Amino acid sequence: MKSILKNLAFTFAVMFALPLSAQDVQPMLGQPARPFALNATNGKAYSLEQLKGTYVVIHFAATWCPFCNAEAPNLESLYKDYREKGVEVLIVDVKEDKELVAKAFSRFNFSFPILLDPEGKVSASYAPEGVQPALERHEVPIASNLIIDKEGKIRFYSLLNTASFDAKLTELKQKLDELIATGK
Amino acid sequence: MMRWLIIFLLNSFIVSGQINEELVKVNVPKVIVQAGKQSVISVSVEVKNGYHIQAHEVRDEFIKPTTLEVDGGKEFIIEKQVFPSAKKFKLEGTDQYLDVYDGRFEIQTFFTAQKKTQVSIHHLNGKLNYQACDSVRCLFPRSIEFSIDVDVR
Repeated sequence: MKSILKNLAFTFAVMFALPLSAQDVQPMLGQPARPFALNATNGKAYSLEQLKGTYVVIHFAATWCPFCNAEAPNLESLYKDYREKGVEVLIVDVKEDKELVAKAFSRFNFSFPILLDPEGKVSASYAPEGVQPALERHEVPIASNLIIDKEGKIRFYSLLNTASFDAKLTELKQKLDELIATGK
Repeated sequence: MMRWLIIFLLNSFIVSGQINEELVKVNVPKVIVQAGKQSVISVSVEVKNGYHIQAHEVRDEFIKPTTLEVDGGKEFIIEKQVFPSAKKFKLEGTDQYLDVYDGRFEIQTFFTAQKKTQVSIHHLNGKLNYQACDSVRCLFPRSIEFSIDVDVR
């Protein structure tokens, strides 16, 4: 009986601790970034592989996502401020039509590529295991930002948190500065 | 071994419960109308606690507004719809606001039964389109389809 109670206590600790920590702690850090090759709204093809040796900021977006749109101008500013430091920025739009994406994002005048993930496979591959299990996997990374380092490892992964929404990308810039300073 | 079996079973239970959860529920009382007269369909919507959905009138053309489709067929003429006033939701870290609905609210659809509409109970098709967010996720736009009973007397 004592053993069963102990097991139950452990079980509940795991059950309730994991979902909380999954939101508070950045997932997938240090893991190799999932490779991908996608077409962009500009008609060109881009792969993560071809950007090896640079820092890559990836933002998963959808045109209907209010948080993505609020952050968009700041992504463009970030790119302008950091591209001379070896930083590339990519938006991966999830499961939307090319014409809609091109039209919706034209107002932001992005000078970096907007990639199309028409089936949500790339987005799904970046969904951290165990996070938001009720959602379809391609939905999970929407509005997230990642930094992939020069070696292709994930160094930053911010899942959406509307209560402390970092529209100005302050934490992401701090991490970029840190990586650039150390040359990692 | 016993420990992991219990964890597996309880987690399976929780995950399946989350998958089946309804973020938005719709309830429509039966509507009574006389042939040739106007009446109103009141769709009661309940958004799960902690979530909001975009309002009917949005500030950004690419945000998915809440819309209600009612198919009146040949027997009913669908007229104006009345949505509730939106609440403001601040996008933290910006000076922007979203117009949203949360909790319980009602959408009214005015309609007129054609003069030749048969006296009986008709079943109209309704569809609520919405895009929901909570504090840690924004979900793809979704729809709920439902039936509206209209009693023509």
